[in-house]
Amino acid sequence: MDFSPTDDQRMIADSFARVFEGGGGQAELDELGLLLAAHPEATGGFGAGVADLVPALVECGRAATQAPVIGAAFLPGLALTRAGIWAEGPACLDPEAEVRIDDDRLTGVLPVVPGADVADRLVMCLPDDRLAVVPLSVAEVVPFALVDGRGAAEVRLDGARATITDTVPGLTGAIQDSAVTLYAAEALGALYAIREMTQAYLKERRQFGRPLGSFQALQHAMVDLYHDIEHFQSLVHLAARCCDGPDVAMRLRSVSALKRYLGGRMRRAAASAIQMHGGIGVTEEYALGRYVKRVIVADLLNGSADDHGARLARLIAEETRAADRAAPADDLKENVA
Amino acid sequence: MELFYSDADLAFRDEVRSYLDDALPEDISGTFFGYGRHSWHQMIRWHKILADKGWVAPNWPEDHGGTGWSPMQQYIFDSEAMMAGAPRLRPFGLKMIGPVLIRFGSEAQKKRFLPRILSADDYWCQGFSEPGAGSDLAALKTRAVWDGDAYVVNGQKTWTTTAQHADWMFTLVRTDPDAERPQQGISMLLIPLDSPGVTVRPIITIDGDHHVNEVFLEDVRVPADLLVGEENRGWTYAKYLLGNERVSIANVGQSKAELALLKRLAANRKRGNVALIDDPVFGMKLADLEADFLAQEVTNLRMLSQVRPGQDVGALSSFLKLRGSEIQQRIQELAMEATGALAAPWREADRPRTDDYGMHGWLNSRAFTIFGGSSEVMKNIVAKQILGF
Ligand SMILES: Cc1cc2nc3c(=O)[nH]c(=O)nc-3n(C[C@H](O)[C@H](O)[C@H](O)COP(=O)(O)OP(=O)(O)OC[C@H]3O[C@@H](n4cnc5c(N)ncnc54)[C@H](O)[C@@H]3O)c2cc1C
Repeated sequence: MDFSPTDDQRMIADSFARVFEGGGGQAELDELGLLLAAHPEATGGFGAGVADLVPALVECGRAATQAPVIGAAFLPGLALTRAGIWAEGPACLDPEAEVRIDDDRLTGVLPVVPGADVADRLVMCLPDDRLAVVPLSVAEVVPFALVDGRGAAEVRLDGARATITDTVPGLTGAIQDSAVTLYAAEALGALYAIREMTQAYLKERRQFGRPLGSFQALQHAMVDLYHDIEHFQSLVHLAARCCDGPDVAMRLRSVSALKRYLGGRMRRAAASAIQMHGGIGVTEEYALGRYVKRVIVADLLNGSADDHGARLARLIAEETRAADRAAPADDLKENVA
Repeated sequence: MELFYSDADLAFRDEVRSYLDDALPEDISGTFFGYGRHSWHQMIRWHKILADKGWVAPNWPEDHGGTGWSPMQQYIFDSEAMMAGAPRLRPFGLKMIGPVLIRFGSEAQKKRFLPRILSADDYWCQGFSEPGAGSDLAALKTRAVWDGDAYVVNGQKTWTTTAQHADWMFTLVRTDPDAERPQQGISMLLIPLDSPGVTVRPIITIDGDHHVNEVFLEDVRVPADLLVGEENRGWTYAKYLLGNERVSIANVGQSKAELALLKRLAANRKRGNVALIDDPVFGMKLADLEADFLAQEVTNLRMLSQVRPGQDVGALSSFLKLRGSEIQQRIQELAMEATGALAAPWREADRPRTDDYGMHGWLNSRAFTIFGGSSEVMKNIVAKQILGF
């Protein structure tokens, strides 16, 4: 099983990396057309799928960029490509907007929409697999920064007139799962940075006359962190391919596993990295915190780890019952009260 | 995970499935699906069936009887066989000494031993650990002294799994007690267990079973043609062997099958008025296990695809063993929980049972994070060799 990036994926990722190395951000990415990667080809994008975006997002995470790459670029791009429509001007997307729909008028409060601070339009996935697009000029937009520094906004819609597409079967679920996966891919980049910083720090910082890395307790904590990130990496790639593929059950399974991992093992890995740094790890100035916050934001957005644990549990129960019906009678059935 | 199977892989899987349908005896698969543990004889029967088909040693080079399968195909075969309820073949010949002889053995040794490992005419056990040499294996004391026409071996091995069934023991012995580093004075000998001076005594483990033994060696004479490779180079061969052992302990195919069985168990048990599998608390534990398993399955395939056949897997094996053994323990733990009070009554080890999957499995699985190198030692190895501490 080989997840190494294709030439095209590498090319996109390298372009992102070069922009960040030169200290660039949103303006430079925009200029190079990179923010359109996921947008439909007919409108200047590359029509990239989720797996195509993973290497670029890893670079975004490594750089802890403030550019709204997911919220106001990749995510709406994926949705628009899938729905086969095009909205003029930069858009942002809320994958699980809770809004009331009266004909083409939408009412509701969307409390945290990443990228809504800079977008012209808001794209929403409706529960019935339609896509709604409203110009943000007709909404009340209250911008703020997320804890990791990225921009977002609260969006209030009060009977805002939307353009609503026909039903695209499976659209909303697919975009919600893609949102989880895109943020996880970016968190993976941040986790690489966390891992490298921590490994280097354990080698260079000395206490008791020895490098910290010579203490077994810290070595084992570092091995756990390394180990968990390697496994998380596998899930990111798996989920990304599942988001692009036709097997819905496998997508639900891999994405929920990914989110559960992110809110469990990865949250602990981030906390453990701080612990291994000691006091410096909790300072505003030291870069570690920026990466940790990026991981935690990914953990918190788009459904909790518990939501996804419950979803995975339901899926397991359904699949097991289906398989069991086909299987031979169970010896232990007689024990069922 | 059909997503990753190429058309060729899928065709291969179908071939494996239809073979298993025909070839795997029903009493053997029935043991697995009845939550039982395969007997020794079932395991050997299955070994011989696979040997007839030429599929018993997929990891060996083709000219020695291997299948030439890719790592993905090996995994497909392994997981399909386990899912069908086949016994896990013992690794001592097929995964441990076989590959060592192929890489380091003499032509005569290959000719003599390899076919008999494939056919299960010889059964092997592993004589590494000693009472004073566990994690610190290089501290081993069993002594071999050259005496004109043979080595004379004295010492004690312990934890020797299935020595009671074995014809041969591949054994680490000290040939040079004065070597600068303890690792440099060790050799590997192939010892017939019916040699005069060999005594095998059972050790009963907490699951009530007889898996392991003590092996006493008293003036056992071992001729020169039973030395593997060169004298005092045994540590090199042992490290290669342990790498393969650890990958085999990670045992992803078996975890996949046991996880499926655990889910079936949970679907057929009740907590209050609902099936256990629908209980939100138990369901969450299953979900976490599933997430960890899926991550491990993909990680193993990702990493093993990068290893060439016969190449030393090195510290990677420690990495894979860590999570693999932990997942198997958690499967057994949830199985015990699911079995509940029915797992509590003591059953004699030699009585056929249907509740093995409960308490006995949990007790038995405690050893998974100890043998083949404990988890703590695996972490030491990863810290040193992968992270550079
Ligand atoms: C069921 C079973 C089957 C086995 N089968 C075989 C077999 O067939 N052939 C064979 O040769 N051997 C076999 N073994 C032996 C096995 O390899 C050893 O038990 C293992 O290497 C650990 O050694 P030990 O038991 O002496 O524990 P010890 O080495 O004494 O370890 C005790 C504890 O200390 C920890 N520890 C030790 N050193 C360190 C360190 N440096 N840093 C941190 N923690 C440390 C260990 O992790 C463990 O938790 C088997 C063991 C079992 C339980």
